[in-house]
Amino acid sequence: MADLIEIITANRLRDGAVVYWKQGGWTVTLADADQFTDRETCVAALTLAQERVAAGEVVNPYRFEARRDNAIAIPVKERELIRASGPSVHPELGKQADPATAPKFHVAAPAKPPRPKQADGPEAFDVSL
Amino acid sequence: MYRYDEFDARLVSERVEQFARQIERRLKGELSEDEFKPLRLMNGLYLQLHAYMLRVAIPYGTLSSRQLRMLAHVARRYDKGYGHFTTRQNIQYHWPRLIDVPDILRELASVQMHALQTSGNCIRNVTADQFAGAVADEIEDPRILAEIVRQWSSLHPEFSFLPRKFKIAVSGTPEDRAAVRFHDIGIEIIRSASGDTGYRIFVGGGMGRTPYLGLCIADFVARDDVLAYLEAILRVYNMEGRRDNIFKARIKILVNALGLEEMRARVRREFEEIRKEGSLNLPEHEHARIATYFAPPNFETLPDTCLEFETACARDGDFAAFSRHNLSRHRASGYAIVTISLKPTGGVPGDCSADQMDGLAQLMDAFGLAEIRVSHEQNLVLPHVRKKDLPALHDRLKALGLASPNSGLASDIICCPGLDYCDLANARSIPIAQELSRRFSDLARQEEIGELKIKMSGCINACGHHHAGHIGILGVDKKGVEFYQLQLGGSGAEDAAIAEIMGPAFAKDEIVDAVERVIAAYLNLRQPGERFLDCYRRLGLEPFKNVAYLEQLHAAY
Repeated sequence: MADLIEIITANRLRDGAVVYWKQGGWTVTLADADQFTDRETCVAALTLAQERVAAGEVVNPYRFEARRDNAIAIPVKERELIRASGPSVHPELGKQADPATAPKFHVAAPAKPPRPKQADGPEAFDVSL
Repeated sequence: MYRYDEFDARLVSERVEQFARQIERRLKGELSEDEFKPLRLMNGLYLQLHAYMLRVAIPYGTLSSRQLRMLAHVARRYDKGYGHFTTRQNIQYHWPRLIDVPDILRELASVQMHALQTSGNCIRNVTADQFAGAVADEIEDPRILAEIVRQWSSLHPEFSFLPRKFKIAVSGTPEDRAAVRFHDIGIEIIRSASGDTGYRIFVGGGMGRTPYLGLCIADFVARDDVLAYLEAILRVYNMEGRRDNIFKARIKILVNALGLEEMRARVRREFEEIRKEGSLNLPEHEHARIATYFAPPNFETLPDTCLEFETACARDGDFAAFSRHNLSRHRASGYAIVTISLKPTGGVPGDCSADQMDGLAQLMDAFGLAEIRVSHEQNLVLPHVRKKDLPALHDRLKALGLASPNSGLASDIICCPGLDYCDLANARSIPIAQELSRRFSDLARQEEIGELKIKMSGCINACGHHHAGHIGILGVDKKGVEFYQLQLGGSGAEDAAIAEIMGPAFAKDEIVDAVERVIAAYLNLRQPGERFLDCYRRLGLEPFKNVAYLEQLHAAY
């Protein structure tokens, strides 16, 4: 049974690489990242992570949600799945290309998403995005 | 081609060293991220999902073989062996390291290239018709004015902090290949009844969240007045444009809030003031001096019918197909314009490997071709090729994997990088374009469909020009899951139109089927010789909407 956790991420200043918070430092591998099960601890860690921006380590740290399945963190949103792996159209590039940094989950073919609620009137059309 | 004078060279090299020092100070912690971000953006450097992205300017899309070799070198040495040509005729590198950017910019400066004003709230790279100087009905090469505008707008002190970015395009023919009416300012070069060359100016066009077609603010601006008139428009925008809301900050919002007449009156007042000062006249001799850089090559006197070409067409089916779709009529007899499609079946639209760039540079030198162009449709163009050289040139392109015979057809898809790379994107766009390209890979099927412009963006910002697609696709995010809106009836050409949204978005595994059903409906409904766009204009959205949602409706019941 998967449970929801949070992870802290940022991009490394010197090369832009995706990094994850791990025990007061950073790792390039999602599988090694600290997995936060309570919001308070995560927010406290994010405050520490944000101090590393001024120090020139990283840019824009933030929290994101993941599901934990057998200790493996699987990001909930497509954006974080792609950041953790690399471009889905170039499997030979990014973290996915190196067994040391590749995520422990497969991202190529997400399950068919739920169909959006259909309605009759044009007011249901989502055109304002 | 334009060549830097001493001022250009010094300006670019000083900016490179200035940015190198800014990077050094950021790495040492002497500049905060908030202080550094606008500085890097002014130098074309973004931070995206996986890495930094460096957008290198290709003014009006024109490159020499030497510059193309440098782009290949940068891709190989500092990136991951490829670059991505964009809808602003630029190239993007998706993996540079911040610490390498000064060296990249120094290397680019050595071939008169830079990344200035490819980002930020300033006047961006000026785009122009990729067939400039090569087509018969051209009134004047649009790159002359584009270069003059580039010089006027580069580091313009008054317009370096506009309310929002500002894009200008120039077309030299009535046929519009530069999408002028989708630009903040679109310029069409025209000739008056008395034979004078001047400019028709459109203002307030754009895509993004609120798409508008540009409106004609001036029917005819004389050549020596053009910079004063552009300055007047920019001045009104700079003063009156909204800075309180990023979504309402583009000039299109101002033009539509004021109304065209009021906008025109305000611009006219500024224009008269600037003219009184008399400092922004464009002297004829300066125009003529810039024009010499864009003088066409000395075309040989050749018959238009070429035996080598005809024989190759008869003998080689691939070459015949390439000739049907990727050649355009040239102004000079015995020559052709060659479009090199960057849309191979299942490929990433606009991507080009370092080896391909090097191969193209070698090919240019071998055939004596001084220039290659980048089109806003993310293809490359060799503007002046002798017809008798075409069979050998085609063989070389084939060996490079660059001979896809699909220019203007269903698989010639404009597509932004989308969520595979972009920090702003809501959904992936490339995998959808790839699947469409595979689905329509059969050339006979594409030829049966005829001219079809499919354009796809991964977010509302519309880098993939979905509003201007005969079929436009927009990626949206619904609670972290990718969905795709379908839009029909747009055009970025001289019959410009904004595509109409069909209805609720399709799921990722439904959108390509929906497009296929729309195209099948077109094939059933069209009249002889009718393009998809014309068929849509005759029939409206309804018949296409009915078939697009067919399976969803069945599923719903």
